[in-house]
Amino acid sequence: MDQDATRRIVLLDDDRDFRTALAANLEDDGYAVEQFARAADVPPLVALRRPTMLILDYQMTGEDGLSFADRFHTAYPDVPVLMVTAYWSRLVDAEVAARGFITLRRKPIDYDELASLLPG
Amino acid sequence: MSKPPDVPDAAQALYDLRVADARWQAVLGTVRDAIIAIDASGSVTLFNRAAEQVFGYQASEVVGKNVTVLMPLPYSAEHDEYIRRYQRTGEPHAIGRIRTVQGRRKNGETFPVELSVSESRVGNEVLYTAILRDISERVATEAALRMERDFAERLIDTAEVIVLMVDADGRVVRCNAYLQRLSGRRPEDVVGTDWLETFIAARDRTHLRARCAAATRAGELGPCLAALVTADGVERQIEWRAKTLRDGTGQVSGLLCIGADLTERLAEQDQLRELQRAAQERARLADIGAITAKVVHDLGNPLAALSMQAQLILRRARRGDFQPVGPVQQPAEQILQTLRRLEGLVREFTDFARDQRLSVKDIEIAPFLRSSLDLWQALASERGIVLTFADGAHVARMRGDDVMLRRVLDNLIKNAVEAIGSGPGEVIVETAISQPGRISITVADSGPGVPAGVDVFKLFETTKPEGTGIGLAVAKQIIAAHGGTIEHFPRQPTGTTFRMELPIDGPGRHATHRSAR
Repeated sequence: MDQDATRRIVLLDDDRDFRTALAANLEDDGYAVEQFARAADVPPLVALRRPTMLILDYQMTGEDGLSFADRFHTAYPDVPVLMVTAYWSRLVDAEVAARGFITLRRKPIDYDELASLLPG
Repeated sequence: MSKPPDVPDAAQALYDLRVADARWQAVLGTVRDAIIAIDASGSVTLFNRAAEQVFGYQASEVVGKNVTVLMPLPYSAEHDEYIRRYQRTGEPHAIGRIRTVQGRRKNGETFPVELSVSESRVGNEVLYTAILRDISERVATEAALRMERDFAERLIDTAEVIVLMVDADGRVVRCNAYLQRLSGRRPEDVVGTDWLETFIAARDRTHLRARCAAATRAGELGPCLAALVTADGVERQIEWRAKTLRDGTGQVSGLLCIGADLTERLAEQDQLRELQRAAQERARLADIGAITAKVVHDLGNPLAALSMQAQLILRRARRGDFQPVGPVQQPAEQILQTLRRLEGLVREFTDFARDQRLSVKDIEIAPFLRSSLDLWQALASERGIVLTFADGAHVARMRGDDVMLRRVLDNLIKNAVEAIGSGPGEVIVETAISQPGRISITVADSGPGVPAGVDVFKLFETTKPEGTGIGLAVAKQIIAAHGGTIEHFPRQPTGTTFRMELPIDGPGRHATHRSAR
């Protein structure tokens, strides 16, 4: 496991197949990926090791992506947030953009495009 | 009266007189008619029992009084004059005939009486005897009957149903005004004719005749549909009912036919059935739409996961994890390509299933259309297809949803390029002002054209092997939501032109929704 804090990614997505596949790609690129299916599974934010980036699904069972991202953003204002949305809409776009988060439409995602958005 | 002196046997004569008087009294007391006698001055001298019953006076109350107490005005005022005139001129008013006059009962009630008066003389004395029959009941009955008949006549002639009377041989006896209006035939032209031949459509005659024959036996005909043909040859759908008519001896004398015109109602029912069918079809499509949306939605995640795995394989292959790289890289790329196609299908379905509000803004027309064409420039050049933009409208801006309209244009240009296949060919996007306030945007291609009988805007209608038949259905929805129209027509010498016409100022407020279906 890479212990370097600049190479840590928190991945929150309730679709296991997609999450593990994306994690495998990220790990191949040398990132340490902490995966969670639901926001409720994420340990208290204060206890979380500071990640490089948060990647999460907009639409999730339980607490939705936007709500969790807001909480996360309050705790880690300078950590970039990448929101993956299954279905694009102006409303989602506007909501996500207004918070300064990055939106990526899941269409399916081109990994190279996603990788280009990762810091460092 | 004093007894004449020349009567031989006074006792016998007196006896005979008593017998005659007794008979007379018996008659007077038994007859149902009122018998009243008056003298020359009009004073009542006789008032029998029936008169008491009819007028309500006791004889003692009336005898010796002027008979005019038994008459209402104007009779009472004129009666003395009648008598005087008759006595003066011998000209009778009431005598010798039966007249209907008014009587007046003790309680003031007036009533019709049939009156006959006879005159008799004994010596110098004149005696008038009146026989009066109270006909108030008969008159009332007649009035009631007349009212009844008038009511029936009015009913028959104002009713909005056919009333037709035919004799035992099926010949028209009479028909009401409604039937005359409906059929355009005059009574004089139809009375005496066979009603089935005159009014009923040839194909319905046999069965209606049979039904009528059965009705004659059963007494009535239940509802039976048969077409009436008017003088103009127009058919009306009539629901017939009939009742058998019998004469006094119980013999069947004919049929009374009643017909209700159901033409409009039947047409409405047809329309209703058609509407219900359409509503069911819409509901079915809505269900299919909901199912489709759900399936398509659920496909998204596994597709994304598959793609991610395929990309992982491809990246590892390229990195040199497998040797040789070719046998792995090619299938992985193929998987990704197929996934992209699947994803395209999913997106098309998703776009269609979604109900979206138009987001109307200013669109710079020429740059907007040029950029739409530019997206296809690379593929077009590869295939030897020339893309041209001709701005004939010279309108800088229009109002519309740029994302939605982009989707329409993208679809039309893609279709045009795909229709041409491998070139050479041309795709021309052109603007024009078709009518004040409306801009027409055409996308013309030199492809083989749309096959006859294909409704390209119909959902799931496609001429392409891999087409979904969704793109143009969505395009039509989007254009309609903008308050515009879209159509296509063949192009000479070959190809198709799709022509959209849109309001430059954007959709009206009423048209800002795009329905899901």
